Amino acid sequence: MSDAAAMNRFLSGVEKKAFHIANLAVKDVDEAMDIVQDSMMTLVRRYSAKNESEWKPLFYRILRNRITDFHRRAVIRNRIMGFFRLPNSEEDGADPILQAPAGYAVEPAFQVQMQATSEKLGKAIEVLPGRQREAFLLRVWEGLSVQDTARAMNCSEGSVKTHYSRAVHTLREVLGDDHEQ
Amino acid sequence: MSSDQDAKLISLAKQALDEDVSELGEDIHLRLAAARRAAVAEMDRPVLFLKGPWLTTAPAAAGMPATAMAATAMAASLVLAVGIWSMRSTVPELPVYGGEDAQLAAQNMDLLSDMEFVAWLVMEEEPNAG
Repeated sequence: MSDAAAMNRFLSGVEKKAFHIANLAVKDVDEAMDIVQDSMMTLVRRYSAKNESEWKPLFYRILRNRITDFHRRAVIRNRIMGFFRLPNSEEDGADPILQAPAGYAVEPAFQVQMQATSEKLGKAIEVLPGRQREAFLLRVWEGLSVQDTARAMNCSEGSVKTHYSRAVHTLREVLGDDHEQ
Repeated sequence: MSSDQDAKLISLAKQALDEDVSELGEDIHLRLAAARRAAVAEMDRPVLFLKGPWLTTAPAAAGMPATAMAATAMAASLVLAVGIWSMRSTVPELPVYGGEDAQLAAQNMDLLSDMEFVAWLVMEEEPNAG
């Protein structure tokens, strides 16, 4: 199989999951698409000569860096806009940072509102803190080893285990009785 | 909590995530496919010899190893440096006045001053001539 064919096969295998992961992180379809496209380009340009077995952790590391860049830009943009914005302006209600889900906090009415378990889990994964969600998705969904997940997340294997364990713990709590039946 | 329950949780999570992905719109699928094709097309472009967009194609396409390319670049730099140095050595030097030359130059300056004085004198006398 040629390199191009192998790369095409690899990218077609990860693109949808990568897009969903990016979309969960940035909550913007167009931004997520740009992030995935940029990650694909970077992988091809810089790492296509690497062994195919290394592509997946490298790709997810690039994806993660792009997501981090997006959040950094958003924070800076928000600070600048906040500096120039008058207090109580009409735009206050549309602040994407304020509208974003608040990390660990799970709304009390959340469990009541969610009917289907899968939907509930999807939402729970969405509101996981970034690093926990990342570790959980890479380990569970992408099937990366602890070592490759650590490589993708640019952290130690111990950190991966901690994030993953906390994510599972949070999801257990969210699912509650549904999960234990 | 037992490992069975964890396995069930993980299975449910996978199922939920797969459902989310299967619900992605046709537009997203098309855009992802286009992005992938664009990325894969990059592989067919000439290989980058060194990282960065400013050095591309020829040497790597010709299969020239990095050391050979570095040596060639070094040789080219040396040739350029020698060329510039030799050009500089052929530029005629400016005359340096000293001795008689300096005296002549000083006299020329005096003459020039005198001529200016004579011209001024003529100009001054002309209105009084009539």
